[in-house]
Amino acid sequence: MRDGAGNCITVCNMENIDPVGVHTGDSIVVAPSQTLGDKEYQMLRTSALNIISELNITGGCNVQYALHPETFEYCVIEVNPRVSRSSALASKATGYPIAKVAAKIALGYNLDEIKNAITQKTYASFEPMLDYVVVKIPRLPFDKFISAKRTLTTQMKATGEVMSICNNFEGALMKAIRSLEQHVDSLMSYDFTDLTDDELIDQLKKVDDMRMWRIAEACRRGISYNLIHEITKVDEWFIDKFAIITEMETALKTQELTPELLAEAKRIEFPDNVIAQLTGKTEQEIHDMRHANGIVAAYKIVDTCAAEFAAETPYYYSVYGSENEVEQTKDKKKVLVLGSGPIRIGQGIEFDFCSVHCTWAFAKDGYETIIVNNNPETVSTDFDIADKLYFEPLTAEDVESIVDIEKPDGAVVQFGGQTAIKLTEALMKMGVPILGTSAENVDKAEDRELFDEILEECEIPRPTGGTVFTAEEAKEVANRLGYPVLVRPSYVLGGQGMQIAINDNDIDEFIGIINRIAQDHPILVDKYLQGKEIEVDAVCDGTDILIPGIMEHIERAGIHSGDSISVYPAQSLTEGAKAKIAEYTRRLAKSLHVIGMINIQFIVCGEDDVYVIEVNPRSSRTVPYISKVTGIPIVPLATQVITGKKIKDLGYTPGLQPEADYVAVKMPVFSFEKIRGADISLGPEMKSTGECLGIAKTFDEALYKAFIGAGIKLPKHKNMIMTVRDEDHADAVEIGRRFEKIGYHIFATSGTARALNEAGVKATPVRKIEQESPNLLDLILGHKIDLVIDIPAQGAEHSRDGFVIRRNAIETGVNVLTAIDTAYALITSLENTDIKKLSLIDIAKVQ
Amino acid sequence: MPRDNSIKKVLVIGSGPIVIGQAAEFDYAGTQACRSLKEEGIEVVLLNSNPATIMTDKDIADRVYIEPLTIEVVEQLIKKEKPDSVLPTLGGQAGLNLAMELEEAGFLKENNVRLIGTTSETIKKAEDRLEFKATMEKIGEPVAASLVVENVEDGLAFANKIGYPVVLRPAYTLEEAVVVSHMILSS
Repeated sequence: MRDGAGNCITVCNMENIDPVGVHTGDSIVVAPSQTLGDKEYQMLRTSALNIISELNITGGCNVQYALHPETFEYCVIEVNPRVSRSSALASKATGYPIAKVAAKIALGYNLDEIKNAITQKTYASFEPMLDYVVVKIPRLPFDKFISAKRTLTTQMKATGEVMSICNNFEGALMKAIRSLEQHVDSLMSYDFTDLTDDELIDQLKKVDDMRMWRIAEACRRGISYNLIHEITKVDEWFIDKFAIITEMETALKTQELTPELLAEAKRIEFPDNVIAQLTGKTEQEIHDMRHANGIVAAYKIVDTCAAEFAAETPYYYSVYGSENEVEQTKDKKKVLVLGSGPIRIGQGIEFDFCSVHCTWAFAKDGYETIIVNNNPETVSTDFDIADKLYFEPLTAEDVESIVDIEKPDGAVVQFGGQTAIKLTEALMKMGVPILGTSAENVDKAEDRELFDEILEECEIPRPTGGTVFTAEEAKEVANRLGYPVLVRPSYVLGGQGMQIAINDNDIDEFIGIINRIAQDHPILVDKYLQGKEIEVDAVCDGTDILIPGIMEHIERAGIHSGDSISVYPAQSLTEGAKAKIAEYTRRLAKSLHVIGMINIQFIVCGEDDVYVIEVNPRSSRTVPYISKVTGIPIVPLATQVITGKKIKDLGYTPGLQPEADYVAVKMPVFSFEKIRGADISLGPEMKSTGECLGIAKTFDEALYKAFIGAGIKLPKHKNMIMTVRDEDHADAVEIGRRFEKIGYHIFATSGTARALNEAGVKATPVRKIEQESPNLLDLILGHKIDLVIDIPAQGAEHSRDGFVIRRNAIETGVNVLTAIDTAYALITSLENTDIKKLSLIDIAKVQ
Repeated sequence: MPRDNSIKKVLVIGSGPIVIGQAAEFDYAGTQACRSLKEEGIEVVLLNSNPATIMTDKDIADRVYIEPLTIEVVEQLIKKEKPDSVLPTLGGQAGLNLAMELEEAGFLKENNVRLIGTTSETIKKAEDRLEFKATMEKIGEPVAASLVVENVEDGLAFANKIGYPVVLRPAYTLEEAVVVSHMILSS
């Protein structure tokens, strides 16, 4: 940080465990740096201060270095003259609010005039001191993109990250691992035991998301630190730390579990379930043994100054074997708000928005608020959002330790996505009341059989289906229903593992993929209905419901709601259908005894045949968007309902609210170009990383704004490629005609070209990619194509050709659409590009 | 130095949709900055195309525009809201690029708007590969050997001169050019 008078300080120094060559965003990072000698540290600190002064920075700045591990040779890689991902991490790691201080400096203040909000005594000119270790691990999306290359390079691939704090490195690493929510909880979570030593040594060269687990396996086999370091370039200090963890695994496996051994395992943050697995005991036995011997978590304060001054803002992390610093608070009712963990595809910042607004609403209502979360990028983990912040993994054990200390009067799980919902049962066992919809009713919405009963009771139709565990059972259900069918695991978010199957072979493949991870819950097989997809978020107080609005998806059912273009208010529904949707929502919310939020997805076939396809008794991805465009503060309302108030008393008339004066279009945004090898075709599994909004008085302008906001700026060359399925020929003709009218030249594969030409739309046939040049691929790589419309066949049999076309297009910056309805939306938008002057709308004034 | 009282209405530009490489951290930074400005009594105008953010909430800013992040929109917004300042360094690269483009085109000056925080000269010095290299050399800070090239042959020649492995990335200033810079392997 540097101010206008030239005062400068360093806030935080961090070290990447990975060598240069892996993007910082994909590296495992530790703060403060662990392997630098004082001389090296001072050398880089001085350099950073020289650079920031020479550049005349006023505000925050981040400098990245490459440092030779053996000599003092270093080199400046990059300087970011702004806040960045690293500065967010540095802020959370130190408690020093970089963005806040940068804003004050921009207003003219100097560092010695800006108070440190954590201590209230020191000033922003004090360099933070850390008496703990912070570890950040990226959240990589390879669980979503199974076909993607897992190699980590200079191109960042992570969608999010987790951070953990502990008083020792091993503990911080173990906590960060289990915060990832990727079925990993220790250095044993990926199994490399079947490799020979030579194979393992060879695989140490691989730089991917499993590299740490390979190094751990190498440590277990006694491969020398030196050799591991030679291959991986990971510093031996870190390798030694991995070895300490693997040695503990061996000790737990081979020695008698004494209180001393248990205390040591907990000091380096082995979770109870891992200790149980290694010692052959049950998790409950480990839990009881810990409590009988006083081995419980204590909490320390992040105070920015290594305890030199008292901290006023309680920001805690857990350690074992130390004294507790949490101040006991008893004056107010306490509520525990569970956050949503790392940003991932399917669970994005929408849930942070919900957690933060819920926390503020509870505070307004006189509650003491406690947030538990592990994501350093988010607002919810800012030091002044809740009364207390616990920067901890979101597992049952970690939450229980907090509950033991805080004894909250209740916990809210409905705003933190699936991460928080998953903790419902555990919280109930701990005796913490779940505020809002009860655990039992959450379960009813997710348990297929219980849910079917409710639908029947409410007389609400749903696509027919069944629950299965094996591929044989699935095929039997599918053949009874008739293909196509939707196959998906229960209890997932973002449609993970959901697929449309068109034949028995697909079923075999999909069930195989789903069952790669042991399933506690059955797999659902449903008849796939092709209709309009509709989404509703509602608040229910037990008696009445409030529906802010009905959202309609542009893409027909079959594409995940998070990847669809969503329009509010619904543009093509009959009054009858709207009334049915509102009524079904009311019936469902009431019979599930929802107190707070509910999200329901419907399919509308024909005029007004309404089917329910999914119910989530919690806050959803669409809540921030619908709140903003309707001006109805849904999360605060839901929170007040949770604390016992009634919708009628909050100034709202129950039921479906009148439509707003604006049309809002939410557009998904993808990051496909960053993930090599990922298939970009849309389907029931969510793939988008973010979204943008277009809001306007008319649908056309809103849609136009949404496409522009998503970065689709057309036309450029006015050339496009079409390749569609036979059943889409009629649509292809209509779309082709409209593109031709605005001046596009169409290239198409033979079948599509014939259909277009026969209908009088001029199309140039192009050769398939396995044929001689010039073919489709040459055309794409020639940088003269604006757009590819490629509608892949459903089911598992994706053609290799289509995949190659789509990947090449994406990697050369060509827009690719894989759904007919998206193509219609885009041409509608392009027909309206004469909208020169956009109407800008101040959302703060939308009531 | 006391606070500059001529700053009364500030435009903050967010980072747009969440994509890999530009995620929630800018909502965090932007939200914190807006709250920090508001506690000084400043009127905050917020522009971001991402509706899922907290910064686009009416509790955080006084005026909230969820509009595409384009030059046309920012120009139109500045004419409509007439802020006296733009704070460009808290919304990530997207907001920073827009602010820089408007500054360079002279639009901000014409409309009596100034960039606050780090100046545009500083941003250029740090982000323009050539200027950055020159600045680092001037103060004796080592940087990796690098060269801006515009064709494959020059790239290969330079890569062979400095030795593989090398890093390739697009240069900030030149549209079609590519920078080849020496990659040092270290931990």
